[in-house]
Amino acid sequence: MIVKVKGLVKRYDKLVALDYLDLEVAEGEIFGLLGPNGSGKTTAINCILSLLKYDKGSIEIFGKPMSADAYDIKKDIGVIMQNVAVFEALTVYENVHYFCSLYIKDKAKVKELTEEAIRFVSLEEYRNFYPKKLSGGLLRRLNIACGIAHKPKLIILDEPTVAVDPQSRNKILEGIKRLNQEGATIIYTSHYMEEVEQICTNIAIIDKGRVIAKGTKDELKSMISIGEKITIETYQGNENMVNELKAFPNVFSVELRDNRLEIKSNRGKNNLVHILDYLNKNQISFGRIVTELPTLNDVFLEITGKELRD
Amino acid sequence: MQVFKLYFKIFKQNLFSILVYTGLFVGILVMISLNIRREEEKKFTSKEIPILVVNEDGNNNLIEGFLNYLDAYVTYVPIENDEEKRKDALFYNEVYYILTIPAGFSEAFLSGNEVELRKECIPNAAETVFVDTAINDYFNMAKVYRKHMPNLSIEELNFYIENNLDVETSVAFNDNGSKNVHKGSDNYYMTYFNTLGYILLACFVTGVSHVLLAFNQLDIRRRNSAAPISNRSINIQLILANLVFVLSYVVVFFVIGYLFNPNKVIGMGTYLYWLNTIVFALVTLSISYIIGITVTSKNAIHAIATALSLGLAFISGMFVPQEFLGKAVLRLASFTPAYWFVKANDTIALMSNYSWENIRQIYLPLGIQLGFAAAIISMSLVISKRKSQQAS
Ligand SMILES: Nc1ncnc2c1ncn2[C@@H]1O[C@H](COP(=O)(O)OP(=O)(O)OP(=O)(O)O)[C@@H](O)[C@H]1O
Ligand SMILES: [Mg+2]
Repeated sequence: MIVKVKGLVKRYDKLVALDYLDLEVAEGEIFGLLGPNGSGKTTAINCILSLLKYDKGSIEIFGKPMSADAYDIKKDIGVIMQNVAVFEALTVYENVHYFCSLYIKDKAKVKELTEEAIRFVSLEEYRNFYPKKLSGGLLRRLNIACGIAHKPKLIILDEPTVAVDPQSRNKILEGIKRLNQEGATIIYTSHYMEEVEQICTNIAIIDKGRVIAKGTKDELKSMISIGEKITIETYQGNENMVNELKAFPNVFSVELRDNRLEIKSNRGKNNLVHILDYLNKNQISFGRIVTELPTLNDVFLEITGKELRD
Repeated sequence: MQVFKLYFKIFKQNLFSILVYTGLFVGILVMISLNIRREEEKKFTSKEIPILVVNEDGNNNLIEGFLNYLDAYVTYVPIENDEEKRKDALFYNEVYYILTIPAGFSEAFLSGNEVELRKECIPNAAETVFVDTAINDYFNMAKVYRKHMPNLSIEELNFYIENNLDVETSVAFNDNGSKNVHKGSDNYYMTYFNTLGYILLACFVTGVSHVLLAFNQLDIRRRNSAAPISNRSINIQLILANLVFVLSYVVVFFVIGYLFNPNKVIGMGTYLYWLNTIVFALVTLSISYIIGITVTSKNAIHAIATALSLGLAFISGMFVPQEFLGKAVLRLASFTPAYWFVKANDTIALMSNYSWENIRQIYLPLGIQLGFAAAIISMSLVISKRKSQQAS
């Protein structure tokens, strides 16, 4: 295990931010920490890095206990904080250079790595810009470059795509995959389930400082009962129809809302075919049909009874 | 030394406000310098202060020597020995000062008894203070020689006194009419360095605190702590960088001070002023340091820099000499290092010579300042350590 967190408890006065949190991150994976705002992701990261005192629990990184002065552990970690942490007084190049030089002693090597990191986040054009002159997305990319320039074995990214346009976001996600392919283990926190679904190999869903589900994407999805979600637009829906559809095999919930029929069913063959047959037979005209496999949002919804995003 | 280098990169961004303060100071400086020049000019007219001497003691070597000596500072005006006429002369400013040497003065003085010369003078005239000082200087010196070399003849005594006091002929007035008449150069330096104290406070709090502010933002602090560099090492590098800035700044002002000095002398007194200023620079540095790590907004730092520098400057006598400040103010001020800085400067200005005896007088104010610096820096380090794993 690259990271092993056991029974982590962190209180801010009376508020329990982490409630016996357990995490295990294996070498080579992209580990997703998924949770809504205020669920304790950042707090967990800060505790893992010993940037914050915690009340209970143990943290091991690279098999060694982590502490504030464990510099031999810290030197192999790259951190991308949720809040952009760069110096206003330094240019893009100087910022990356400074943070890299905290990890690498060899001056020539620092220069080389700085250049590489700037290329990696495609900020070559902006190398002499001051942070104030960068857009939100560019700033995030600078933040990432500062965290990864020294080629760490473990990279921790805390919501690196918040407030970033879709194009920049994709670039960032691809970059993270590339870093992973180059051998880095990644911990990625987000409240966007799509992102986590897109890149993470292993996922822990947390809520109120507790891990409520963990596993691979598919494992998580198979944990919940719904296998398929079918939404049908129709202007002829009625109570009777809803009740008849509920009796279909695999179907466990049918709801009629705003002229949309929402049918949730267990995994099974030809679920959709049976339903369409029924509609045709009863000469019910319908518009668009959407079928969806469950998302992590559904997982979250089913376990906590609330939406991941508000 | 990454943090050390970074310090100066960030520092460059604050150069402007530092330059503004520095420009302001050079402005004040020119004014002081011009003022001192004017005082220097007065020195020449002072030689013509008209005085009347009424000698009831008869002529003897001591009095002759004394009158000879005083001749260098005043002009003797012969006026009839008549009570009325004397009063008139004083009233119409024909003479500024009437000195009466009472009968038996010489004998009493030489045998070591307390005796006093009688004087009448124009009220509130700076010139009379000057004459007082000239007279006191002579007899104090004579007393010292008599005490330590009782076998000296009066001629020898006169010779020694003349030579000794000649060194100090560059006497200037203290315009404020205080009893302390400083040597011209020291007067200039005293004012110069007292004012510099204010500038150091304003500049360092602005400059140093601003740079530290950048380091002590929560996110940056966490980002630095996540790197394999200890809090201690960061602090040491920051303190070193601050020292380099502060000391070079101070040295620049030593040079400017010398260039503007009308007398262009560097002596023991100058070194003492320098020493005191360096010590005070360390104090301001420590103050700036603690502000930099506890205050978290730029505007707040500006407000504090202004309030603190002006406030301390006023109550501690950087602008207005301490002797004009009320007792209560001074008592309050004595709880601040600024007071002891000014105190040391004033003490240096008053030294008639730089014997160890005299120099020892500034040990206490220097020591107190160093004490302040050490206490504040230790406090900052404790705060910094406390903050290192805090939530905010
Ligand atoms: N410095 C602090 N002082 C007090 N409470 C805090 C502090 N930081 C966080 N909290 C609280 O702790 C809980 C967890 O916050 P945390 O920032 O870890 O959540 P998060 O999952 O990172 O949220 P987000 O997605 O918004 O970044 C929240 O309820 C938050 O209000
Ligand atoms: Mg967060």
